[in-house]
Amino acid sequence: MALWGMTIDLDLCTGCQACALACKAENNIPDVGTVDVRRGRRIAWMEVLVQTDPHHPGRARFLPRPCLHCDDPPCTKVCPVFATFRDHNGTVGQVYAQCIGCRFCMAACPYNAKYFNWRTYHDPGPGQNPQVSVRGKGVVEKCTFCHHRLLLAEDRARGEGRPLAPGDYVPACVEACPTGAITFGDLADPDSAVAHQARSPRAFRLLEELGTRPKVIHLAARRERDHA
Amino acid sequence: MRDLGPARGPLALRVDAALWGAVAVGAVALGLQLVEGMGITGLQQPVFWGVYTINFVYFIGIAHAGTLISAVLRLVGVTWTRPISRMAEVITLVMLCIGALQLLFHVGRPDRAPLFMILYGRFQSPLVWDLISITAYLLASALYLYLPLIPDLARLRDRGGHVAWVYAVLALGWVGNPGQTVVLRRAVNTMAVLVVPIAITVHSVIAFIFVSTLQPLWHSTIFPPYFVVGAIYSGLGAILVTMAVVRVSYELQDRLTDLHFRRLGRLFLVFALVWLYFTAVEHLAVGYSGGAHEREVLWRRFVGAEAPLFWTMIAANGLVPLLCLVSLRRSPMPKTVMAAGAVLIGMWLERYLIVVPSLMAPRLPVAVVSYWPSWVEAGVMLGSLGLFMLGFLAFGRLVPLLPVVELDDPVPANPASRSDGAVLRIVQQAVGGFVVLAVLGVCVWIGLLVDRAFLLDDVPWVAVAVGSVAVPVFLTMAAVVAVVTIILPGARDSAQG
Repeated sequence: MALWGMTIDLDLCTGCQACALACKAENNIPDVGTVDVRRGRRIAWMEVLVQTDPHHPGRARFLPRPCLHCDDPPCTKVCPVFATFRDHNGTVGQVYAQCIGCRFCMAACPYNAKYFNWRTYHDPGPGQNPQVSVRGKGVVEKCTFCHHRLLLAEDRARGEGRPLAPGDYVPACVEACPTGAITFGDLADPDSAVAHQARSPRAFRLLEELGTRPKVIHLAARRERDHA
Repeated sequence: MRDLGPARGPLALRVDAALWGAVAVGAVALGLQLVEGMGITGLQQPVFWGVYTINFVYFIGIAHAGTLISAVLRLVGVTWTRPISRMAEVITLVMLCIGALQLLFHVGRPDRAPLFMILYGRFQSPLVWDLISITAYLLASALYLYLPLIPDLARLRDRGGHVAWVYAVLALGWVGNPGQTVVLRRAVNTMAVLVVPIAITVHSVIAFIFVSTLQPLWHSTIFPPYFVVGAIYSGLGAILVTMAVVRVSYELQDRLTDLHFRRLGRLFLVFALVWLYFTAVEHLAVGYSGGAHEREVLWRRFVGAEAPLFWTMIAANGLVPLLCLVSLRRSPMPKTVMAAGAVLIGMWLERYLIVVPSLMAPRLPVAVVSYWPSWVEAGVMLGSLGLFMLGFLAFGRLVPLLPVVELDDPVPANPASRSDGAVLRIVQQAVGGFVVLAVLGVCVWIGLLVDRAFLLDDVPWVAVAVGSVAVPVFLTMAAVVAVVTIILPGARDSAQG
C-alpha cells in the first residue's frame, strides 16, 4: 500500500509562489475578495509562509505549507460526522458534502492548514477544473494532495495493465515548482526519490514534537545550518 | 394560597414588547447569516470560533444552577431551598435549550448539522459526546422540573378555566393520596440522583471540546472540573438575579426572604473562592512550566492585548463577589445581586478569554487578524437572551414559579377529578409512550454508534465506555417516565408511605 508523501527543500525554495498559484488553478480555489482577505479569510491550500527570526533581524525564510497529511492527524479525530478522515493510502481526505461546518477540525489542526468558506465564494462561470468539486458556503476545505490526479493515474495504469509507476501521480504544486524544491512520491517505497529525501539529515517535520507525524517533510536550508 | 398569576399592567406589556423586539433583532441577524453565510459575522481565520461558541459554553454553564440548587441540596436533605428550586429548574431547562441552539448558529451548515450528527455520528468526536450528554440533560432536567410540578398542575386543573384540560392531561390524575405520594417521591428521588452526574458530564464534555485539541492553554487536564465550577458559579449568579426580580415583581418578601439570599450568598462565596483557586492553579501551572507557546498566550492575558478583559474578569469574578459577600448581615439582597451581576459578566469574559486568545496565537507564522464580533453576533446574542427571558416568563404564566403545594399544607386535590375520562388516560399514555419510545430510540442510536466505532476501528473502547454510561442513564429515565404515566394515576389510597 502506497503512503503518499512530499518533501520540500527549503534550500531550493525561492518563495516565488508558483506552487500556490498552480494549486489555486488546479483545485478551483476561489478568490475571496479584497475585503475578506483583509479580514483574514483567504483560502490557500498551499501557503508560502514567511518565517522571521527575532535573533537575526532582517532575515526570513520561506516555508511552503500544504496540508501536511499527518499520519496521526489531530483534525480527523474530532470530526463528528466522518467528513475528514485518514485514507488507506495515508492522505487526509475532506468530504465537502458531509461537512457540517463546525470548524472543530480547524481548531484541532496545529498547522492552520484548513480553510472555511465564509461566504459563497466559488465562481459559477466557466474556467473551473471539472475534476475538482467546487465548495459551497459553510464547509471546510483543504489540500487533498490533488487526490483527483491519483484517481486518474490509477485508472490509466489499470487500463494499460501495469502497476502505478513513479511520476504517474504528481500534485499540481510539484509540477509547478521551477526549482524542483518539492518532491512527491511513495514514502513506503524505500527506493523512491521522496523516501531518499526523507532520510536526509536535513529532513525535519513541522512541529514534530506534537506527535502528528506529518507526511510532508521539510529539508532545512544548509545556509541556516551554517549560521546556527 | 397566594395567587401567583401573571403580573399584568403597562410595565409587563412594555417588558414583553422589549423582549419580542430583542428576539426580532436576533431573528433578522440570523436570517441574514443564513442567506449570506458566516462571513457576515466577525469570525475569520485564525479566530474561527467566537461569540456563538462562547455563548454555547456560557448558557449551558448557567443551565447547571438548577441541578445544584434543587438536586444536590434535596439529596442532602436541605429544605430551605424549596421556594427557589422551581425557579432554578426552569432556568436550567430554558437556558439549556437556548444553549443547545447556539451550536446551530455556530455551524456553517445548520441544515445538515443535527441530521448528519445523528446519521453519520462518529463516537471519537467530543461533539457527539456533547450531543448525547445534552440530550440526556435536557430530558433529565425536563423530568426533574415536571415531576415535582404534578401536584401544582393538579391544583391548576381543579381551578378550572378553558385550558384546564391541558393541566388535566399533565396532572396524571393526581389527587395526592398516599400511594401517589410514594410513587412520586421515589420518582423525584431517582431523578435527583440521576441528574447530578449528568450535569457534571455535560460541562466536562463541553470542556473536552477544547481539551481534545492541541491549542495552547486548551490542552489541559484542569479544564473539565474548572468548567463545571465556573458553570455552577455563573448559574448561581443567574438564580440570585432571578430570585431578586421575582421577589420584587411578585412582592414575595415573605417567601423569598433575606434568609434565602444570605444562605445562597454564602454558597456563592464558596464558589467564588473555588473559582479563584482553579484560576490561580491554571495560570500558575502554565506560567511555571508551560512551553514558550503557552506562555505567550498567558502573557497576552496578563499584560498583552487581552489584559483589560482579563483584569476586568478577575475583578468581576473575584474581587467584587468577595467584597460583597464577605458580610451579609445587613441588606443581603442588594449585595448578593450586585455580586451576581458582576459574576454574570465576569464569567462571560472568562469564556471569551478561553476561546479567543488561544486561537489568536497560531504556531506557524500565518497572518493573524484580531477578532471583533459583528452586529450579527451581538444581535443573535441579544435575541437569545430575549428568548430566554420570554421562555422563563412563559413558564411563570403557565405554572407557579414557586412549588405552591409543597410549600403550603397540601390541600387534597378534588377526588372527582380522579375519575379521569378514558380519552384523557389515552392521551396521557400516548404522550408517555412516545417519550419512552424516543428515549429507547436514543439508546438504539448509541448502540449503532458503538457498533460503527468497532466497524471502523475508531476508538471502540472509548465508544464502549461512553455508551455503557449513557445507555443505563437513558434506560432509567425511560423507566421513570413509564412508571409515572402508568402507575401514578392508578396508585391506591391504601399504599404505605
